[in-house]
Amino acid sequence: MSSMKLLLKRDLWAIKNHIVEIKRNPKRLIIYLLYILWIGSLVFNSIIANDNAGGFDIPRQNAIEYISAGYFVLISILFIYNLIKGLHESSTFFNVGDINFLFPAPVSSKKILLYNIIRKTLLNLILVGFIVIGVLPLIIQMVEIEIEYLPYLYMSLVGFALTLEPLKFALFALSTRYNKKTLINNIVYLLLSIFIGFILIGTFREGNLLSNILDTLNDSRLDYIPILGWSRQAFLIPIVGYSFTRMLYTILIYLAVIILIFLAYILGDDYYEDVADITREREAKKRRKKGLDKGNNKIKFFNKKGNINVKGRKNGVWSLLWKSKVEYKRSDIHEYLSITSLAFLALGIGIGLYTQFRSGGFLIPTLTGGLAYFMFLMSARRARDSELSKPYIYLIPGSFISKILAISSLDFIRMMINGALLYVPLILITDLPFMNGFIYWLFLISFYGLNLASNFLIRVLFPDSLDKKALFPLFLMLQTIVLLIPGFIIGGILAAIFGGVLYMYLGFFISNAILISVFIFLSNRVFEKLEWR
Amino acid sequence: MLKVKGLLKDYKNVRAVNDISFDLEEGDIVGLLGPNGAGKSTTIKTIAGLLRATYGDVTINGHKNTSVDAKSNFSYIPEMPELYEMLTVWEHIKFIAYAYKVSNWEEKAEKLLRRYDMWDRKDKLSKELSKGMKQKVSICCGLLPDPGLYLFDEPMIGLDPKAIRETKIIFKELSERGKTIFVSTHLLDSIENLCKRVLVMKSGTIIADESVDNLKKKLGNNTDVSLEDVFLEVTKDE
Repeated sequence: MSSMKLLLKRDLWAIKNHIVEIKRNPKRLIIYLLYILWIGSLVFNSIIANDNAGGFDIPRQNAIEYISAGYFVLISILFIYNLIKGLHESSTFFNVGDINFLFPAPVSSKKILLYNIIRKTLLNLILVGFIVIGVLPLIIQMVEIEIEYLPYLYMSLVGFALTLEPLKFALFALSTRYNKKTLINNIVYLLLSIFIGFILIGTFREGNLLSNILDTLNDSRLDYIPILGWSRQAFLIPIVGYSFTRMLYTILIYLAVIILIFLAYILGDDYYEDVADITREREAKKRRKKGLDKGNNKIKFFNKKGNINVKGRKNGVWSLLWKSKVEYKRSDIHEYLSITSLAFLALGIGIGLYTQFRSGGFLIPTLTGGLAYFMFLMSARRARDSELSKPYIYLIPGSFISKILAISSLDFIRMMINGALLYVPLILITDLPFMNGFIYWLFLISFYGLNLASNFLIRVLFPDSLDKKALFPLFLMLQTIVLLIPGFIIGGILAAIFGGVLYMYLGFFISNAILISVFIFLSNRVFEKLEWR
Repeated sequence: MLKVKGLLKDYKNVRAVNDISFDLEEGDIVGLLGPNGAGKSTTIKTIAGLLRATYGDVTINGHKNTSVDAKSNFSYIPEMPELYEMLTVWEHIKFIAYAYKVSNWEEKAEKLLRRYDMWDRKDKLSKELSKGMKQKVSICCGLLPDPGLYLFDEPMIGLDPKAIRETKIIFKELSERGKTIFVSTHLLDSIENLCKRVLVMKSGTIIADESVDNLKKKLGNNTDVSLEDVFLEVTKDE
């Protein structure tokens, strides 16, 4: 049996087993049904859009600019995501079974690589298919397109999707095989910084913000960026018309595909060692996500080794706090500071400077609301699950409430600091009154507190990770009713009485503080119902 | 069968294996012993082609260990029995049979699975198995191709007493059929009467490469001396 056939068979067996699993446990189907519903809604939208073609009343030139910029942003995000992933874990298409069974077997390593690149690329093509389903009707609504050139649009997307996996592998293999990880990381990050810097400078220059963004994203210099710029030009052929240059760009994408596949193939010898550790790490991460493994979910940015000194010994349950400090000190900038802290500080200074020189007063409350919303959405997904899946949490003697506080307090303090790093520059740089900044800060951290305090209840309500996934939309709806409505009511009353939007934020803080207290009280009551799994 | 010449393996700044050389002949059962961090697993993984040798040569039946030809001549049974989560026990066996182009594999596979009490679990997904069962599947997959050389990395960990005994019997049978077995283990009593020769590693180097009898003689030819005593004596810090 040929190697490719063997690998294909293995994947088909796995797919068959997934189907059998669904039959045995139909709850899994809910997750897939939700995806099907989502895709269905896209298709439905597409049908409706086709019926109402030309629905938008936008001048043609503007529509083209919107489409061109939108497409460029979309593929840039995908490209940068894959590029960064490629620097760290390009081997994601392998799994631990491959390391133990496939790699030592008499199967050519190049064929294994090629098969996996093809498999992953097929998945990328499915993703591209969704983009086409979702985006094409919108484009048709916005602007008239030349149907005979439509294949160029597909070719640009397919070409783009074909580059991702070989690029990721080539980057990864080059950096690990020849011990040039730092050099290649630096080059990639430098190029990314130039690219993002170019976009930011163009966006925040003198003039209208929206037209600045559009002008920058449509800057013809961006078309010279390999793959990204070329793909955009090829994509635009059915919209702006055929030209020799655009045709050339289409050819260039496919040349890039060939070169990248060739490069990956050359590097496809002797890569087992490079991919083994990362594959195991990824598997462990996946298992932790599913709640199957008891690992540490803290992101290791610095991966510091050696001795660290954490002042003050904690006794009993509070040793959990001490443990968190040790972990953060070892894996982060500081026990109280992280990369996120720097991001918050940069955001505070950036928004501060922007609002100082430009009229952007709406930005601060919008930013606050946006961040809080993000934390709210994260609450059902991100939990201190890694801690709760360790047996010592249940074995250490001590009251449940103190365990809850000991587990959560350092995360909360870190968020308080992050919040302060966001709002202090805003207060100092802009004319934001201290009290307003303080209320925004309270509002923000109260959502984080809500997130932390609800973790224990989520674990009791949905002890099974599958339930968490399957019932997530339902849970989110419930959460919205239970958590957000009291905030809206209290905030609304306060805003109506005192006459200011700021009181809405204060109302939310009060509501959240009450809910946090209730949750911690309830968590204390339900802790004994938690199971170590 | 296996020739290791001047093998050296560095991990960033750590020398895990330091210039080791040895040959294994057909029918040998050789134990690879050593304390934690001695470089045993690294040596076995490098021989299996899962790690790149920094320097040195490894050949199996005259073929470079990373070549497809060499890989047809050995089986690797890893320390951690990590399987394909979404494949059943039988599908793992089938996969190995196809990969190694094993003829009449169904019959052989059934015999192996029955020996390890896994026949009635052959349709179970690997994710539904306990660690010991996974280890049994891993061993069965390693034994199925019937190659000339077997590389076992801690095969007894997680196995129940019956499976340990079965594995020891299988080792003997394989040796009698001229197969070479290279086994790394901490469970010294499990290989005491099996291995005629042991390699003892410490800090990446081979500090002893002799027959078990010779090593025992060095400790005064006392009949009560066990492999454990020999091991502790050889590896003790000066």
